[in-house]
Amino acid sequence: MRALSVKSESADPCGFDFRTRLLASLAFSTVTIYLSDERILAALAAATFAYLVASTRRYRLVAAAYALMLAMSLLSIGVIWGSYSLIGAMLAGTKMAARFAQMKESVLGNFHTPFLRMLPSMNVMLALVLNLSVQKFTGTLKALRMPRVVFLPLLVFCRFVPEFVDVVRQLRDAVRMRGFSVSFGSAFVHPFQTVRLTVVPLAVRTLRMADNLAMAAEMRRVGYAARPTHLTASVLRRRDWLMMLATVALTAAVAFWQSTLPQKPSMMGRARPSAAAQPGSN
Amino acid sequence: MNDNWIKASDLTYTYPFQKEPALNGVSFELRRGEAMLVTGPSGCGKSTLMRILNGLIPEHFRGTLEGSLEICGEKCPAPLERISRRVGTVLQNPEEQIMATVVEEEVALALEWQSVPRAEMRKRVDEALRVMDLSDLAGRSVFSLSSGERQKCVIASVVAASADIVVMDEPTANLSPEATEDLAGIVARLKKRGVAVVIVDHRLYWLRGVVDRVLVLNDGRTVAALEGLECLEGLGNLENLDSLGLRRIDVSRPDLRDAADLSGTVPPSVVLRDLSFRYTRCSCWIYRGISAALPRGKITAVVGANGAGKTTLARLLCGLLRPASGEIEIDSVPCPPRRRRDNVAFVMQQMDIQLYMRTVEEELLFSAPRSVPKAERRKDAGRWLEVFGLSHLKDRHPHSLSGGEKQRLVVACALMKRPSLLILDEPTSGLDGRNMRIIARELREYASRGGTVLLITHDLELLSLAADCRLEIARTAEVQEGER
Repeated sequence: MRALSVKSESADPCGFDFRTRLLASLAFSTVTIYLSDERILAALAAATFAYLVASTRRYRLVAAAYALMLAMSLLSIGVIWGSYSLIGAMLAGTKMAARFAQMKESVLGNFHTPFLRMLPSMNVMLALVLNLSVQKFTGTLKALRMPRVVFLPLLVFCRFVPEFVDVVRQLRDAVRMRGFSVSFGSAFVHPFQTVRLTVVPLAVRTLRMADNLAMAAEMRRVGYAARPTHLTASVLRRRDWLMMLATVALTAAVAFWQSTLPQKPSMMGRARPSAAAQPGSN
Repeated sequence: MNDNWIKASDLTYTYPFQKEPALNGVSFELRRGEAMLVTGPSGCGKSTLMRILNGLIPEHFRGTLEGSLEICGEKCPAPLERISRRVGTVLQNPEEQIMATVVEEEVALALEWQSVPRAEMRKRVDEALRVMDLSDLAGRSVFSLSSGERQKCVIASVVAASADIVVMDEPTANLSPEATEDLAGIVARLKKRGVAVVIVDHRLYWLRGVVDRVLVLNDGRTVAALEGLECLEGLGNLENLDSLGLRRIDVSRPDLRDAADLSGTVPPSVVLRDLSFRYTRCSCWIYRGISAALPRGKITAVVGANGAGKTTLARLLCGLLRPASGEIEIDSVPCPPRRRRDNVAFVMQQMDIQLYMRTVEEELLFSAPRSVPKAERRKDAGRWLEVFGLSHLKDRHPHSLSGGEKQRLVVACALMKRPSLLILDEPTSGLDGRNMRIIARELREYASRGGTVLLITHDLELLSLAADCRLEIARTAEVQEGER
């Protein structure tokens, strides 16, 4: 059976620990919420892109993800441009028309910023997901010494995912052998039939699997020990500490850079009140 | 504490919302270092007994449990946490039991949750891996193991946990004859270590000289309880062996002719020419330039070790996979994948994913080709319901049927399709003798009417009863991990 993503350590070119990648993902994704300057976002996007490419080396997948992102951006711009144009045409000749045209210009003029903000997050999340294996993830859960109520469901879920993927593949084959296909297209054309062919067998099979896995876990006392021991010690290597240090440094640097810049006007044409402009702050 | 590892007296259990007990007044004893077989027809109460022994009843399954049970001197019911220290369980399907992703981590899992110190844990894991001949696979991903290796991995985890009692549920259902022989050796080794082993199984032949006791159940009651290493032979004397749904004890590997030897006398129905196949993103070939012919009106058994690529061959023949090169002819005409899906019926191992409709009858009607007139479809459905003994269940929901009934239904659905080629992948794993014989009989009947059957099975009894010839698939070095 082909699992969703079970790889050997050698499949990870940089060999960073899952915790290191998780920290990078959380830090860069969080800091982008605060960033608004295009130059800083572009610099962060470039740095995280280099990290993504170096740590995965899965160029085609990265290219596909970027193509998808571009397509989504263009689609969004198209929909918003169309909506504004339609409403603008409806408001033509009214007092609102000039204000609305200004708003349209402002929204479309700043439209690249949200997408630029998404790029660093996408890069770090891809670097996390493309190197993720069930094995590493469960190992990390153990190493993080998570509480039992969190660890157990996550362990069962992680173990369940590859089996679920296999069941879906088998179900697709079984349905095809009956002369039907299950796809997004067929779901629109024959919604009831698609539900019948997928939901009932999938529900029955997955419930049975989940029940058996849960019972197997109980029969092996999983979750009963207050402090379980571990067969292998999970140790962070030097490269992980360096990467964590680089993550913290870069996050702090971009945040500081952003804080030194004046506030930009918002999409509605008014400047957001800066700390200096707050009442009583002088 | 004496050597009686299990002492059950008058065990009676009724599931919630049921009137009749699933187990009714069952008594037996099992000493340390002994093995006991529990067998009987489907629904006789074997699994219920297993659940009582490993503590799932009454902890997980509610209901009413009566009688007395002692496990290693401890009175039951006891908390599952305590029972699981003494009793290890090996389920029929190791995929549904394995929790870790690496072999040695799986073996260590129960020890980790018993807070065993790391040094001792390492020692016990290494010892269990050595006993199960898994030392070379310690660092391997469990996803890359064959069914037999996974089964051994689960048993190794039970051995490492130092269980006093091991309960095995249909342990041979997915094993090749070679792996089954290995399992018999493992049971003998466990006995030597003083472990009491309870085996719940339909297949009996592999347990000759292995089990010390046999318990035959029917409708929840004990119909035979035999003792001694020759007890299985005693079972062979039971007059109602067939009516009890038991399988044969004297089963040997049938001497089947090679399918190629029949090519001169029997016209081929399906021909594979220079077929090569490998999975996407895998540089290794599963098949490279193979040619074969399946004779018309014959049942060809695909023979090969676990992981040799038998199911891959079935998926290629069905048109679910595309070969890298070569072609497949059906009735002397090259047949592209899409047409093959129309002409071939495939009974997969998993039954749940092959049942979709609200009633058994609807399921059969849904399986018929759209080109067949409605009245004829109904006639066909009625015939197959009768042939497979499902007429009285025609208004039941398919998912409410028992395992044996579901298996018969999916075979009937495949035959409703009127295929040129019928492929069955392990159609009798976990089936009792009665259901296995019904399926063998109907396959023979279908072949005698000119149907071509490709049978993928490790079930020696089914092979003896049904197969005409064999197609051997060697496990090549090129079959790569994780791609089977």
